[in-house]
Amino acid sequence: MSPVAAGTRLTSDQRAAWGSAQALWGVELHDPELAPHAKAPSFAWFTFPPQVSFDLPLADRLGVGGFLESIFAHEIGHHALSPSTRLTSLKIQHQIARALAATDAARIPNVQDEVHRLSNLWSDMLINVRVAEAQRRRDGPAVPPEMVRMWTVLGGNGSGDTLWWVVLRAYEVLWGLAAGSLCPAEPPAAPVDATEEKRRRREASTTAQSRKTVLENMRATKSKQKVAEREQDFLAQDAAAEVQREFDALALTNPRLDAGLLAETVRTFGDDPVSGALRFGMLLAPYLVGQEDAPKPGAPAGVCDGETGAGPATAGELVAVLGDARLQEDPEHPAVAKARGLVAPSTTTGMSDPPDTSMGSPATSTGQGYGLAKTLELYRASAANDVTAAWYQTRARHFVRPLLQRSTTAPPAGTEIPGPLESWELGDDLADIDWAASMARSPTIVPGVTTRRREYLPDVPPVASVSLDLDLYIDSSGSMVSPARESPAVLAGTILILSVLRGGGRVRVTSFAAAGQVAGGHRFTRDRLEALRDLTYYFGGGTVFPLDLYGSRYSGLGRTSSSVRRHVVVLSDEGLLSMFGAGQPQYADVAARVRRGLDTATLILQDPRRSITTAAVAAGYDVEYIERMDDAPAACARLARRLTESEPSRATRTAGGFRG
Amino acid sequence: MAEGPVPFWRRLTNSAGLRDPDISETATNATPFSPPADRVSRPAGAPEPAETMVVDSEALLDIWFAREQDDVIVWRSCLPGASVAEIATRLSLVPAAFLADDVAVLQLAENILEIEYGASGTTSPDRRRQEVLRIVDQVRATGSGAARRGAALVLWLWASDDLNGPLSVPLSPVWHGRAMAALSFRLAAVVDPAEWVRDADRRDEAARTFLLWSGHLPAGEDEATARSILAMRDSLQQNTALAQTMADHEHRLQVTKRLQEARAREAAARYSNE
Repeated sequence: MSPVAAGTRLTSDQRAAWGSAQALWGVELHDPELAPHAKAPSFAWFTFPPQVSFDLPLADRLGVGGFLESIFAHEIGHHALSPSTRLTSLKIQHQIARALAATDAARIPNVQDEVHRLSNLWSDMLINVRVAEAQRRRDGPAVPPEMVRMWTVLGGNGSGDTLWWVVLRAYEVLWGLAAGSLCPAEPPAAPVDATEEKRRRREASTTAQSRKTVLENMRATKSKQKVAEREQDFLAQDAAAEVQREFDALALTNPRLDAGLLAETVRTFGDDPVSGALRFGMLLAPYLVGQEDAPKPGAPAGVCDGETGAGPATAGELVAVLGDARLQEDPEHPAVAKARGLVAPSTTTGMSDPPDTSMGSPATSTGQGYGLAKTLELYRASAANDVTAAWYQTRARHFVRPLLQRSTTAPPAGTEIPGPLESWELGDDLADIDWAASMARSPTIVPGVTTRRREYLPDVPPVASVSLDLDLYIDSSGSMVSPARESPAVLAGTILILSVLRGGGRVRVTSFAAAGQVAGGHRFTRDRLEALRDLTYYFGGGTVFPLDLYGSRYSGLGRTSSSVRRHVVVLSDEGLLSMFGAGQPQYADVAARVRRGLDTATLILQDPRRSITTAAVAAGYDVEYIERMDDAPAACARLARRLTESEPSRATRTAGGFRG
Repeated sequence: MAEGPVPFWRRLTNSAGLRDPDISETATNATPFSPPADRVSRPAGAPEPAETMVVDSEALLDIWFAREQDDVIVWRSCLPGASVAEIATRLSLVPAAFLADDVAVLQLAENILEIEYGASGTTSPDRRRQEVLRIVDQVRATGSGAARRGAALVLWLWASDDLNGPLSVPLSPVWHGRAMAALSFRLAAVVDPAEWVRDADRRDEAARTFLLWSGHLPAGEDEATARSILAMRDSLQQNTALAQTMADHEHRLQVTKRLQEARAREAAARYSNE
């Protein structure tokens, strides 16, 4: 065993091991932090910004103190390979969370802890395999790499956990070791959950007793038909519970097969931890289902503790994480994907039955989408508003186009293009003669007969486009879907805001609900985060459009002109009748008066009964209707077309008419 | 110089349908994998007998299992052999012509076995030769392209010494029949031999399967390691497990649907009660 000082400076042996560990990765780092007797769950951990820490006396106690190079190389690997950056770390965790959600998150205890544990385990596997490979390349095949020898010791610490059996068996496969080298040759037997069965019986007995009492009471006081209906209700409950039990008993685990698939996943995704994390999660998540009462032996003692002290994801990080296309891939268990792949080619060779098209259908997936609610739960340490804004930005991203309006600027004077050749007549300016064209007609120049001149025509400039300012109002009353529950209105607003900003314009966002409930900035801004924060602000009260504010903002501004243009969009539902005076008669004419000072005004409404149309049209507002998330992009595209095609007011137009 | 590859090929091309040698064109770099008809000349000799019937992979596996080979005994009796890398390299060097659709595999086997066992006509080699030929004829009779290509690849492994030099540990001709059957009926039934050449994992599996049924352990591996690695590579076992997983998955989908229906009925019953 190597001598390990209980101090905080590297000894010569440790420094040599630290040096060779860095050489394995081809990096140079500052010295690690030594934290002897830190009482941490493991002898090694890492943090961002890059820092690795070790409790080497603990490594000694666990019997791996002699594998310093591998211990150091492993932690360096967290900064060199996986996760390598905080963003990648967040993405891996997101992928694992998606896998747990798609498997059966409701039956996985301590989902957040498991996300952290599995994320670290995935990175550990990628690193250990890479380190062992580097050591084998350096030292030759004569002796097993030090990393493999270290795992022979760590694996022997044992755990009895099936998940860990799969991981260790995968290491055996990856390192070409005989079965039984790191873990027992056979997977642990599935635990018999006697407690759960007892609990279920007790619950069934209580339910039966309670139902008996209910039915007896009903028989005494209610009609026979009511009693029969209640009995039907109980029967339906029993049937559903029975199917639920059957569903709960199903688990997609096959330790031997999963170990092979895990080894394949590690080999295939060695350079892409984010993509591989989803498959890794799908493979191991079924081993976590329904483990509430089961003892949790966990990892063998001494496995790396992963990242510690990580702060919540910032708004910028959330946008970068949620915007990664790899996080949109449908979660599917690798065994199912592979089995499906086996069916397809075999059918093309004429050796099996015709392909079953239903097999390849995404409809066969049991996985649930990873919606906003789950995203909020995953990033619960971050500001909810930031998470919501990032989520909508991700959804809106594909539909964002620069939103521009027609320029009112006059075309530049004097722009001409060459036209047809004409005769140069006597009396025309001599400088106008096109000598080349004249000589081409006849080498003998006869003025007024063979002379030619080039006609020049005025150029018609293309319609210029310029950025625009958009005044956006969003209804955040209780009748509107909350931004936290995937609101089509918020998605439409996000698309509009991002499109205006992409075109170089500015937005002003106002969230409103009941009287006095108004949020948002007073000035137009190009700050995306500020605009989205205002957009996702949710009151949840009644609906009263702030006509007083609306009127005051446009009071005295006059009509639009070639240089001043105004566009308003209101996102709301049928409660927007208040915009046209319902409940606030003193402001009944404000919407129409303001409209006269606007270039475009559009209401995007969730109003299945179309109750606003008449009032809106009478006041001069365009109306777009959306019901579902999928409707929002099309509505925004139509609005964008209107904004782009709207003619600017001409200077000849009479100013005034609206004075507020 | 004149005793180079040409006589070897000349003997092989005799009536087997192999075109003139082009050693640089291996199955790995020839695309598409199955050579089109115009790249391979028809055999000049007798055509393949007509009594063939196309069988599926299940039928090939039935033929294999009918042999009742006990792999435990085979593992126990294995002797150290060539390395997996050597065999895998040979597989990847197989000339594309070997795997052409219209190569007469039986004639090819006769030619190669003549080289392998010699034309001495002594009793024991002749019996083994006949056994291999009987298996190859069985391959031909199945009409399975996969089995035929598998057999051709085994023949290539035996014959390639002429072109690529001897293996580090020579193969024993005693188990040629067993190896031929294992690769043509067991492995080719579940993995197309094209994959043995193209895919590293499948090449490794084919090399290990070949070594096992030829009575050898891969160089540098003990029985436990070799068994363990082959078990993880074994496509037959893996396909069985995957098929079970797929069945479980579909059952799960059905139960999910039933669960949703049951919940809907429960909600409807509760609603009518309120």
